[in-house]
Amino acid sequence: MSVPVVSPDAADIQAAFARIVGESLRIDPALVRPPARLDELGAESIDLVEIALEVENTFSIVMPERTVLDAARDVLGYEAVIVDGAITPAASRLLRQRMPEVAPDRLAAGTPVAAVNEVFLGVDVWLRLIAGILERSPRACPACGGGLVQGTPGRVKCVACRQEHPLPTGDDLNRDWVQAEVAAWSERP
Amino acid sequence: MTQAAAVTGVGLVSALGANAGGAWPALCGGASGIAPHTRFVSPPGGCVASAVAPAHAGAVAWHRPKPVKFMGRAALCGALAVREALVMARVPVPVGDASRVGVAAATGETGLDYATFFAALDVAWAGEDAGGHLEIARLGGPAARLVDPYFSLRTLANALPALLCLELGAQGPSHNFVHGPTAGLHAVEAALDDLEDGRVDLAIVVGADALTGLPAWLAYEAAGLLSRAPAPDACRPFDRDRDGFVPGEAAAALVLERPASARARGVPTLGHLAGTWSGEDLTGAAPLLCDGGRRLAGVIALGAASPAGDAAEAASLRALAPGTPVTATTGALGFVGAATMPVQAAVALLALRDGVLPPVARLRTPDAALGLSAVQGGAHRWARHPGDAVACVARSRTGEHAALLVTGAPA
Repeated sequence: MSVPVVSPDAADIQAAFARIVGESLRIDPALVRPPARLDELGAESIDLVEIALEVENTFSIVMPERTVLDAARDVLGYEAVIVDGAITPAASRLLRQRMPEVAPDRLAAGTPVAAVNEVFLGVDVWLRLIAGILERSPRACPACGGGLVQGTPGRVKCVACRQEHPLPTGDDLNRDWVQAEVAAWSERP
Repeated sequence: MTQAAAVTGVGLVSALGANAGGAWPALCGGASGIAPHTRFVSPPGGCVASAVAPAHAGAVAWHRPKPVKFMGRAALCGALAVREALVMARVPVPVGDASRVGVAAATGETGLDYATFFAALDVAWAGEDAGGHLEIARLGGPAARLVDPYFSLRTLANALPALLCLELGAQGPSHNFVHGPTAGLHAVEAALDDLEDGRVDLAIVVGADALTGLPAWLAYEAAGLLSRAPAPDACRPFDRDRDGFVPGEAAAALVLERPASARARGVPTLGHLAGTWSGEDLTGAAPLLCDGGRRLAGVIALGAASPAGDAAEAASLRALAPGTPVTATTGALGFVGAATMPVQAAVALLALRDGVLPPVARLRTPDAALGLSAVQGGAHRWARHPGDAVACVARSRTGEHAALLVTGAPA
């Protein structure tokens, strides 16, 4: 059966994400709201995989397999991002820009990477991440404007012209965003 | 082992029901849980029937709900059987003195369920891109999204004891044995050793298997062990027209403790596990089964329903316990692999409690050449006696034979 691609608003995203996490962790979905963190709600690494896959299936998007900090490391180089197990001023700037929902002091230069990784588990961070990927993922056929359904994993298919289109991956979007942001630094240092 | 262990709780999940209370009367009435297989389309010309257990995760309130999602079918059946056994034994969940409660499990030999990868392999089989060659690089990314993220946990042989200990809060010794139908005997022996050596006060034995998945099905099919008869006629142990077994799903659990401990807790004892034996020839079990002035009220055989397998088993039983009533659960529950001996033990305990040995379900025309006193038609009933015993026997495909002696509780 074809699964139509959806265009949820913020409330839909919140409700669906709460349902997904609630089912995965066998907890009351009402608990899945900011400022809760997924690990505090009982999620372990393997649960995060299930949650991410369910998010992908629900919203027809491709979640990143790595964090935006990893993307920054790929673009800028390890030493430009992490020194002595803590984030550098450059990394801090990128993360604060990327995650406006997080209090800036939690992403200050010198914050241990382990603490930053905890930030990535925030419900608010996941909600913003999902919304951000949705904004950049096709909701209508780029070729003919027709409706889309889920295709093979990582792709959507037009119900009108039958063309398949790849979905941008969260990792691609993170990398592109870091590159664009760093390039913009020269214009607004 | 020098001292019999008291059994204070029994649980049984099988094609005849999600608990022993429901399955026992059905078993005694000669019912069979074998039905047409619907989980997948079986290979043409092969077996078309199976014995699926009605096990559902929502059947009980779990102490730790989240790990339940890691349970495959066998582990779920096993956990449900244990929960039933603990209720009978009046043991709360989580268990009280955690370090004094152990778990000994017998689980399936099939391990990895490779069927979980079929959909991903379809994606990775890069027909249009690479001329029909398998493109390993494509196994990551999109293809990986079609693989059950919990496949490894759900197919680990020792998932059952691990998840069970989490659910129960048990922190005593835990064991896992993977040796087909005789695995249950080794689980019983480990539990008895833990009790006798004082490592635990309560030992939970559980055997669980789910052979109704595609990999196990294909393996048994390839070995020529599965019945090819239509579902109503498939799997007929000791029958003249037997042609193999059907895959089943089942679990059975026993709560064991030292007799004095059971008395001190004021919990009724259902019966005792009085001795175990394993070796290459079942007749070697004679000292265990025939000693001590016990009256062998019956034998619960493997009854694999294959022409050669039943003939070999019958030859051993004729020598070991001539004229003793023989039954088998395979016609009712299908072949249940590692759950075999715990299921047999559960049935033996209930048989000794009630003085009733269930008939061999689906046995219509006994094979006279086998020379067995197979229980046919209705249940075999006898007047209970304090020395009554029932023997459970099985063999693995590697040639190991096993026997477990179960005795009744004093009237």
